[in-house]
Amino acid sequence: MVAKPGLTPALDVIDLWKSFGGVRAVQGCTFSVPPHSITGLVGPNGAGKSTAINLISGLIKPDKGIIRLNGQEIQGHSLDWTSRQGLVRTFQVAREWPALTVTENVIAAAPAERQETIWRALFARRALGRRERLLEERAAGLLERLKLTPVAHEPAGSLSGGQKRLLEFARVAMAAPKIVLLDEPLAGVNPVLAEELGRAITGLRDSGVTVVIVEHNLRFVERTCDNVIVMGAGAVIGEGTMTELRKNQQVVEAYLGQGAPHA
Amino acid sequence: MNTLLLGIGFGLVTASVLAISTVALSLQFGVTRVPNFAHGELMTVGAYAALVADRAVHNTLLAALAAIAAGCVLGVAINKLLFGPFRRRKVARLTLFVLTIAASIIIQNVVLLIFGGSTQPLPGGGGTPHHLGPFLFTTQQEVIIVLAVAIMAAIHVLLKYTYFGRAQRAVAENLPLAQASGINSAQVINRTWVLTGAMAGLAGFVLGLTTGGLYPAMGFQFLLIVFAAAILGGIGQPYGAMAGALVVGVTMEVSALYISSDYKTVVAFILLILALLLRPQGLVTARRPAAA
Amino acid sequence: MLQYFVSIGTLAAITALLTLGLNSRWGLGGQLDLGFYLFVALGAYVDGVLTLPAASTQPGVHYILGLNLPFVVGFLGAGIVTGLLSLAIGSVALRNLRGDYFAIVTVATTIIGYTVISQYTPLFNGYNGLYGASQPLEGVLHLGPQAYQTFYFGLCVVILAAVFVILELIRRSPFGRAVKSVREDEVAAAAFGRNPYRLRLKAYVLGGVVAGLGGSLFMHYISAFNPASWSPLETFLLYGALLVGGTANSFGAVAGAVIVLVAFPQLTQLIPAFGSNSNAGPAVQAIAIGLLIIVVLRFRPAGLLPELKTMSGQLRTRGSWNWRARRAAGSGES
Repeated sequence: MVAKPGLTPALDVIDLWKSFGGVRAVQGCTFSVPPHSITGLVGPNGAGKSTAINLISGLIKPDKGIIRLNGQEIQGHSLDWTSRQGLVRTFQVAREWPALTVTENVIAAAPAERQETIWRALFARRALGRRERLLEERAAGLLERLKLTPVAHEPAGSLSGGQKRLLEFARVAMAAPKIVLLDEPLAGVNPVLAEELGRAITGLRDSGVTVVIVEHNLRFVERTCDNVIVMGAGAVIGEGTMTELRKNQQVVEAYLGQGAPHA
Repeated sequence: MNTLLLGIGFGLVTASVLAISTVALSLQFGVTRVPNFAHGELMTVGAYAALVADRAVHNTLLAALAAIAAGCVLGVAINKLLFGPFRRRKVARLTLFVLTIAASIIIQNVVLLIFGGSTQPLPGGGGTPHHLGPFLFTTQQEVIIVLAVAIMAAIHVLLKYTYFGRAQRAVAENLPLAQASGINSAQVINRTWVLTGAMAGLAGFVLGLTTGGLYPAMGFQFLLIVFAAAILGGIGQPYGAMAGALVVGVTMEVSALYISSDYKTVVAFILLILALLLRPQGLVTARRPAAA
Repeated sequence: MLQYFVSIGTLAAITALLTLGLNSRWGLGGQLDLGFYLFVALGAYVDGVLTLPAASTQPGVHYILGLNLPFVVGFLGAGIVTGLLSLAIGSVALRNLRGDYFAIVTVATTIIGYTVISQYTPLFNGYNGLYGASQPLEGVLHLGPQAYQTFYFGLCVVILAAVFVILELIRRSPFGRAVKSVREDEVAAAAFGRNPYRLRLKAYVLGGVVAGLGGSLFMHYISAFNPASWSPLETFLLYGALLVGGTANSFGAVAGAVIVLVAFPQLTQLIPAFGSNSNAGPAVQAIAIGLLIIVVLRFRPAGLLPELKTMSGQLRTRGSWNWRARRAAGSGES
């Protein structure tokens, strides 16, 4: 699905290449993500999905290729720079800050906006205090929506795996990104929690964030995503709705042995 | 040119002492992935054990054996009392590192309490220097160099041709795979510590001979030079350790020809810092980088 | 009798200050800095060469500067110089090194500093070191020796309190929270827009400044400083203090300092068996702290006075300690 004419794609990936040693993890990968959509990124193991996410988010640098966020080129920059431009990503393993409380975890994910300096800590305490209260309110609201209020003041390291995944969504929402890349948010998650997370994801999209999800759970992808991109052997081998993709011979073959796309 | 060759000669002696200790450290690091800050104390304890033995029986060979034995015992003790229990509780690697620091301080100060802080000479003269080709060596120094080369050769044979050697390399390369292949990794680790302790103890004895005196901090002060050689050569890589020891030893002694010899250790530490900053995987590239 | 407590109290206050500085690097920043004492020593030396008269006035003594300036200049100058040195060393060491490798580099750097200062006599008078430091504000106050000691004790307590408040404000601020997030998981912190390198560096420099200030106070407490006062043990003892007191807050740092570094040695001196051997005192203290560290790590890694119910992030099993974590996150399968 090509972006509607006149609407800048939220994310443009053009001819992305990355090799590790002699192995080509990503080769000539090209796709666009329409704004305000939930786009799924699927493919068999080894297709290069996580590498693509790592390249786009800035965790690793591409050998070749262009990545555009709302028209602005972002390839080759660091993870934190890319995040500050409005592109936030999550990880396959929950990466909470264990010794900080749940609330602190959420607040610490909000955009820094140049407030996090020693100078301001000492000389702008009143302004910082005001900002803190606003952030605390926002964080409390997000935790409420994700039903995490009971553990708001517990150290994040003591949460269960499912709670940590919910916390991740609170952090993402707090960061108010333009686009978020979710790396297998449902891995190992029970159906009830998956429901919760699905709601959180649509909630993100409804609040104006473009969502890209790397997932293996194709039923979830079918239910939630407007648009699906299929990767195989480091490149894009199909794009469209799930129905369209099921008719795509190349896609079906890529998934052979991994379960057919209608699983 | 002559002085340069002389410097290289001294460098070979230092490199010999260094090599024995560095290979020991590399073997141990290969299987534990934790730099043992108490490694210097293995040397110190070995040296003092040799001193006690030599005072008792006046026999250099028995003193060397005492050093080896003491090093073994301490190495095994560190493994069983420190690494073992904490490993089982799955503590972070940094915690183990901090524990080795604590162990280092404890052992150093126990030695201080028992033997006092003043430098104690290790008996046994070096002999007079004589020319060997372009170099100037005492008999003792020649023996040390030959000893180091012999040990390197023995280690090479051990690693390549014995079951333990291959198992050790497998565990160092890829622990889960080695375990899956049926190797008893705990046993390999235990035996590696025995070997490391033995070699480090012997290195301590030799260090005492070359420097002429023992003091409680001797191993610790040598430790960083050993780290420099190990990291330069690729920490966890025994062959790299040999190369690293050679480079560090020779550079140290040659530099002493041009700048005050008080700064020899500074030269070694600069090499260490450069190695960590520029090439943490060392000279001999492993399949896994040193930061692993 | 009172003078004894005043003297111990001064030492306690200065040591507590040093522990606060180390806590900025370790407790807040999560950096295992084993070479911390380099900055303390440098603080003492810089203050010395700023406040002492020119070396040429004394035969056989060599050091740079010697500007005979008042204590305030020496004090602040010490903090500034150690801050700058921390910036220089930290900007290189913190770029790529983590955990144990960073620690090893800090040891190497400190020993290099120690060797250069000891060997290169024109700098700080080599092994003999600096001595004869003036007593701050003595010219103004004209107090007798005992009264002056009490005054100096008060001065150190005031400075300790001020630094305490400043560091706590910093720790509880958004900056402090950001540094903690880097300590807990730097990749996640970067994923949410924080620059781990810069935050780490700031915590490192902060610790260096406090170290320098402490060194300056130390210089005027003993009125001398030389390489003999400077051993790897000193940093180790400060860590013992932090481990006992807990790194989560500044109260723990101060309490730990008082217990481990002051109360404990004083108690051991009361044991007659150790009175004779001059080495025994410090050796026993070191052994006890080593054992204490092992015991605490075994049973209470958070320290004896943890703040919340939290556990200091550095010593758990989370693997953000080497930069391979980056690669591990990076080279995923799909």
